[in-house]
Amino acid sequence: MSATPAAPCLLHALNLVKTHPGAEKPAVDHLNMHLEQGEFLSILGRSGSGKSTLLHILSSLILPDAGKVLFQGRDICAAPDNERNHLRRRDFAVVFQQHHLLPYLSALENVLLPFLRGLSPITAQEQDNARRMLEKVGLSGKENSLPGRLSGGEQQRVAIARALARGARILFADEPTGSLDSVTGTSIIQLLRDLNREGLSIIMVTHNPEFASWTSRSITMGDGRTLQG
Amino acid sequence: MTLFTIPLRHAKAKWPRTLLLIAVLTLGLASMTGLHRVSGMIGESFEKKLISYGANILITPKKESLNISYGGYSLGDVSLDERPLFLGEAITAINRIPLRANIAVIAPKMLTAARISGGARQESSVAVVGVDFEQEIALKSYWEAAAGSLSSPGPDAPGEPVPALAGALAAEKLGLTPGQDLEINGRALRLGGVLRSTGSDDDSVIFVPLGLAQAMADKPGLASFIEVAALCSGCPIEDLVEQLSAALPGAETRALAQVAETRMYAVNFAQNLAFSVSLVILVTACAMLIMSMFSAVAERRREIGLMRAVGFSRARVFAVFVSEAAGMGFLSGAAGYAAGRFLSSYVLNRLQLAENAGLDFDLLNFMAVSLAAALAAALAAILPARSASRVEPAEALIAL
Ligand SMILES: Nc1ncnc2c1ncn2[C@@H]1O[C@H](COP(=O)(O)OP(=O)(O)OP(=O)(O)O)[C@@H](O)[C@H]1O
Ligand SMILES: [Mg+2]
Repeated sequence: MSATPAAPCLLHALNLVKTHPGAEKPAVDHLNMHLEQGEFLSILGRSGSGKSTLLHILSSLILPDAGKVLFQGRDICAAPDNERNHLRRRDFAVVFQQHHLLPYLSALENVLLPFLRGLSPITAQEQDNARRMLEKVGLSGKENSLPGRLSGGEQQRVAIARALARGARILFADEPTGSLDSVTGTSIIQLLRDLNREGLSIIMVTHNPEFASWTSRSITMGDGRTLQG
Repeated sequence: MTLFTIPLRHAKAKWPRTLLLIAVLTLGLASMTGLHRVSGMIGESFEKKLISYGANILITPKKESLNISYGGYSLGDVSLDERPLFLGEAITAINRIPLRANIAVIAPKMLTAARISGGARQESSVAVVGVDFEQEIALKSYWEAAAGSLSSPGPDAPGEPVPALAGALAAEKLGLTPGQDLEINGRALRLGGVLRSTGSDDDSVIFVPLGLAQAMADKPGLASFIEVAALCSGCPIEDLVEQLSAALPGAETRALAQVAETRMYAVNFAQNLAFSVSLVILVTACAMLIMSMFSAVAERRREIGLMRAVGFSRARVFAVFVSEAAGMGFLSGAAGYAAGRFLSSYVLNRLQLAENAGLDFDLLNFMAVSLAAALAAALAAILPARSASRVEPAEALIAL
């Protein structure tokens, strides 16, 4: 485990501790890790080892009890609310196992979700961009479909298109293939690999060692700590 | 697409819930606007009737009198001092009271006795009442002309014979017919009309212009008493009497028409009841809105978490929920106003409370009711929306 990476470091976690309310032992326990620019990092580990908790802290969805997360050298855990909102809107994108789309908005509208700004409408440029990203993840023609009409894999693709459309710096994926069959799952991982080659940095939690072997680096978690990586 | 596409799409997707909420709110607002209008119209028509019952306040000169009785023999009240009632001053004072707007008619009177000739019968004595015809006719909307017309007595123009009206009994007793030239205390008059019998004191007197009666009584500028007709749905009549007494310290002011007052009380009671009932309905509708919003927030925690996870601020989530409620409120206000108009017109016409109560659709009122309903719904949504805005982004990730 190297605390001082050689390549330009995009995200750097230092001594993270997080105990969920009501839990006996910490889900994340004095953990250190980093993500380099352009890296595709996979996180492996048994169920309950704290992978999701770590991902939520890194993607600024929850705050740790102690420790720091440096994004481009700045501690995002100490940042004010509006700055964290901004990070989630612009730089970080999350793809969950499921439930990542609003069921009553079309695929296109779900992609445009981070662009909403109150009364001023979405611009034509933003809309074109969103269409392009849907096309890129293989969903052209499904722009106006509601999530209920899309398969699990297609829903994942919408969430990925949403990450691309706003030019996110890091994509956080928590078992993105967890609810998909292996063929569909493989195609999603392949899509992520393609996007990574184009420069997107990715952190992905997975149970599948084969998928992990396709990434540029993997770390394994156990009892809230990194066991190797 | 704007932020408000979210509440719009959600309301559309959950249309049975949306429709139900709008229906309940509409019902509340329809009953509120409808009841308000019906009770308002009843009050208005009652006020018209109230004036037609005549005066409800009487202003008389202040008298100091002494009841003299001794040894079982009574002289009755002996008037010691009667302060004259100066009409000009009195009217100026009345016009200055704070509740002036509630006074519909000020009708001064000058009473005197006179000898009359020119009728079919021989010369005889008659009670003459000097009035301001315009005010008197406004006051006594129940006056009808049995013969001739009421409108003919105009302002006395020089050269023209002075106009007069005769009560039914007086006309019969003196054998008077409209258009006839009369002579009262040596002054020429022309009888404009004869009143239909009213069963009141009006039947046995001759009405002449105030100025003439003042001259005949040799009391220029004075009045025997002043009758005032007040509209009192907005204020208790006691307040008016109090203000008039204060304005006219030299005179005696008292309320007549206890009956009218109790009736007014009944109308007020009905209006208050209508108001309370519609308030209860509206509060119930709002409570239902609040509860349904709370349950929607509980149901949509994952969605809200997702919005937060893609960068929505708390304020934005709050806006999504408040605007959904406000939108439903606005539609309910619009529908409620329209339904209230229809309903009240139907009730008013059916119960014959008002002649031809049309819809009287008022665009300004319509907008005001709609906006007020939107505001009320938005206020009702504040607590649920606040709890929505507190949902943490991580809640989107919790698996079922
Ligand atoms: N919201 C929560 N409240 C309380 N305890 C929690 C909460 N979320 C997770 N935990 C606990 O924290 C520990 C780590 O959970 P986490 O979800 O991070 O594990 P994981 O590695 O993602 O597991 P899985 O592979 O099953 O998704 C577990 O013991 C879990 O029970
Ligand atoms: Mg997990």
